[in-house]
Amino acid sequence: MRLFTKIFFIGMLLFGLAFSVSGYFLLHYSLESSMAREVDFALKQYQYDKFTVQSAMLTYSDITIVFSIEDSFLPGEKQVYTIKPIVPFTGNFSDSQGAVEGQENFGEQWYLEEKDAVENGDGAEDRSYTSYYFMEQQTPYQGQTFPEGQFDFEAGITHHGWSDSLLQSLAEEISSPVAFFSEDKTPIYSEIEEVDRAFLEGLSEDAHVYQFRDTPGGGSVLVGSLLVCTEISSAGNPDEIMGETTDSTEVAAWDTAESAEYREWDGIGAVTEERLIYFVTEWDISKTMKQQDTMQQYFMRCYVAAMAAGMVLLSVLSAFLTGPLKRMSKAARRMAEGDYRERFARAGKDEIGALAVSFNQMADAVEEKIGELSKAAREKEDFVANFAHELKTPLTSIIGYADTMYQKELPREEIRKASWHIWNEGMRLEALSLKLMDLTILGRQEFPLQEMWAEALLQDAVEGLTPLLEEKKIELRLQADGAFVRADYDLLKTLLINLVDNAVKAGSSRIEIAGKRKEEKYWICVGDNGCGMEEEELSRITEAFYMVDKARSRKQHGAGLGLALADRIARIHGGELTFESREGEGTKVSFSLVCEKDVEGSLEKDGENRFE
Amino acid sequence: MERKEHKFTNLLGILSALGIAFGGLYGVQSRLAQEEVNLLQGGGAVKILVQDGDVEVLVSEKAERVMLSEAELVRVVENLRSNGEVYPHEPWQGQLSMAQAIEYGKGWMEDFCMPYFGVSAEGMQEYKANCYLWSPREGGMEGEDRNELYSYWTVALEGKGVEAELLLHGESGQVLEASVSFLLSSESGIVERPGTFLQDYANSFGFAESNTSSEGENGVPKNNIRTAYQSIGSEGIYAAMTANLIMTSKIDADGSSSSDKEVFHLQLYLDIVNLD
Repeated sequence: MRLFTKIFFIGMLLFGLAFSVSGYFLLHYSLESSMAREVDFALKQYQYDKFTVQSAMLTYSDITIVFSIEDSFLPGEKQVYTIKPIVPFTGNFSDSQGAVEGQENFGEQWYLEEKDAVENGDGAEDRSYTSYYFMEQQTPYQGQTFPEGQFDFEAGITHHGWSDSLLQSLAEEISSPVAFFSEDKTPIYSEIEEVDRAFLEGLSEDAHVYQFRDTPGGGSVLVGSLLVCTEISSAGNPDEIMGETTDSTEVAAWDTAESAEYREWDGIGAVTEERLIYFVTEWDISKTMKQQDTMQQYFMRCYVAAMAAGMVLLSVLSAFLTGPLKRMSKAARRMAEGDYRERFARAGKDEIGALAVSFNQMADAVEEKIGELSKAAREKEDFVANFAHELKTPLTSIIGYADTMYQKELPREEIRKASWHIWNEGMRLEALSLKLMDLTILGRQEFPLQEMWAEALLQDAVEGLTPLLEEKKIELRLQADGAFVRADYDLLKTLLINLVDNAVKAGSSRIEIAGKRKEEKYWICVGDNGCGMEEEELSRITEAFYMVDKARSRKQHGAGLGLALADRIARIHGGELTFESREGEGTKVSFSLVCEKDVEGSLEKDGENRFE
Repeated sequence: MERKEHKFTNLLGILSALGIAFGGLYGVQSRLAQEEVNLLQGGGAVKILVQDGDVEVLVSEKAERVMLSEAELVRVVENLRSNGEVYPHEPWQGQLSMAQAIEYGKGWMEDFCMPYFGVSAEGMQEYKANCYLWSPREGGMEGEDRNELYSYWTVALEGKGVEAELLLHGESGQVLEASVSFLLSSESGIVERPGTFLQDYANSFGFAESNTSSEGENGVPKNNIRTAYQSIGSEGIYAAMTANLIMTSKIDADGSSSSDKEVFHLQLYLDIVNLD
């Protein structure tokens, strides 16, 4: 999988995870807190509505009246009953008597009116009427209507329940939808659709129970409890009721308006009993649910927008991150194909920039190493070729002279001459092998440098060369500063001998050796007035087997290894050979040694003794 | 072949990333929808304190009433004057029931307030009541700062020619605020002695003699409005009363005025001054 894809994948994964989780918790807690708030509102509103209902019931119970009628009356007659208050009645009925139908001011009376008269089979009218109704009358307060009641003549008891119409009028007062249920869970009055019976069964007097409902409008909370109401009612044996209530009732007067016959009824009774009512209200939470839906929709839009933005961002980011790596990969590939000059041009300050710098450093090192290896390989090839050539020339002479001596009968003088040539070429081969051995040894061995007096060292070297130079009538001059240097005596002497030997081979008539102290270096210079060299020869003059004038060198038993050896020794002493040469004028070869600081002290101490 | 495989892997990776990202959205939506469904199927119950005894039976006998101490009254009045949120609640143990609150309120009107102003108590023979118990606190504070101390009943009474809104202390039933209107008939008249009314009202709290009283504008009614103040106890509580008469007329269709009525309005409340 490409790095681009990996970054994109991980980024989208993190984006999606972060947005999903944060969005979920945000909406989750929003929903929970909204619901909790709605429940709180619903419970408070329920408590308020419950107080309203209880207040009304407490007040209204004062005017609950129960009739008990012992005898029936003639059909067709208008029956007017004037009802007196029942203790603790404090309602709206006065003691006024004799109100009749049609009379305008009967606002404080209740009527009984014949509802129906049924003629029986023998022509007589049936007197067993079963139902009469209260006429509706307006109370002076809050627009309530007197409830409809029913007289049951056969039982001789009027049983009237007040709740139903009171509850209806209360429901109109309460702003929320309400429902009242009787003890057997049948609705008395309900503005709420489909109240679950199980919910009603869970209601109790000592708790406000709530239940969420999923409604087409969006949702609601039902809150309910069981109300224990006191109701004045009557039931059972009228005599018993009469007996119980005689003391607390006043006798109602029965006034037949037309006959003006008054009869007394002593059947007005009142019994207090508790009645259980399930009171339920519904609190609309559709607005909250819609808000929640709206929030979810906003979240969805934000999520999609964020993901789209995230995709673009991650694409750009991935391209930004992988672009330099791609270019680096291409550069590495080109290097692998042999283009060691390839470099990574653009480098910032971040990790990729650091990688690019490291890459370029690596490329530099590789290029340098490759160059060195190439040079070494070339030098080795040249060395082997030169070595083979240098072997071939003396061997050819040796083989030729040996063959001549073997094939022919030569005079003594010729034999001596051939033997000398064989010896001479053998000596060259020996010198060649010794110098090769020295070069090999110098490349492998470490030489500890010792402190010594430079002037004495140079003087000693010059004295060793003097017989040879005098024989060849070459003037040698030495001019050296006194100083302590760090050197290997034998190697340094070999170096000087090689340089002087080269000067001799160059046909010099005068050789000068100078030693100068400059700061912490001691410079030794060997100058001659020999044939000199061209400037372009100087760069290769320290290569093994390189000879400026091969014919002349071979004639003088040269193998082209002297300066290579001298250069190696100079490097062991911390310097290198530097050449100044002009063709026909001579050559100056210089190299430096490490100089000791305390010149004076050392000189006095043991300067002279060191070389004795 | 290898390049094709790489392309397929990359494409699969990008599609997987998109799938995870948008799958998260789907997951959140479906999870929330499920939670919403679960919530809408849920419910719960809040226990309410129910007083011992039959709270719905009217109080015919006035039991020995618990009176507020002066320190308690200070805290109650301070709380009343602070405009905080209140909520309705069921009577807690030791608090008046609704029937008791109505009885106390009605008794205060019939026995104390109406006689002072020459209004017949018959007007309260027939009445309608609306009664609510409020508390400013929902937490369960106990000790001296218990919640029960700050609860109060609001009792609205409507009688014949009488309207009253009373604020009764939840435990003692003492009237802490009152807004009363009387519809005056031609025979009745208002006895203008608010100072005495206030004095008696202050004394009804049972503290040390309340002897500082004042009437607004040196007792001279201004714009038919009479105000009076009466200190209660020694902690800076005072009662304030505003009384005024309003004349109402019914205008007939022909523009003539008929059936003039006078309404006497009384506003009574407690407040506290900082004695420091």
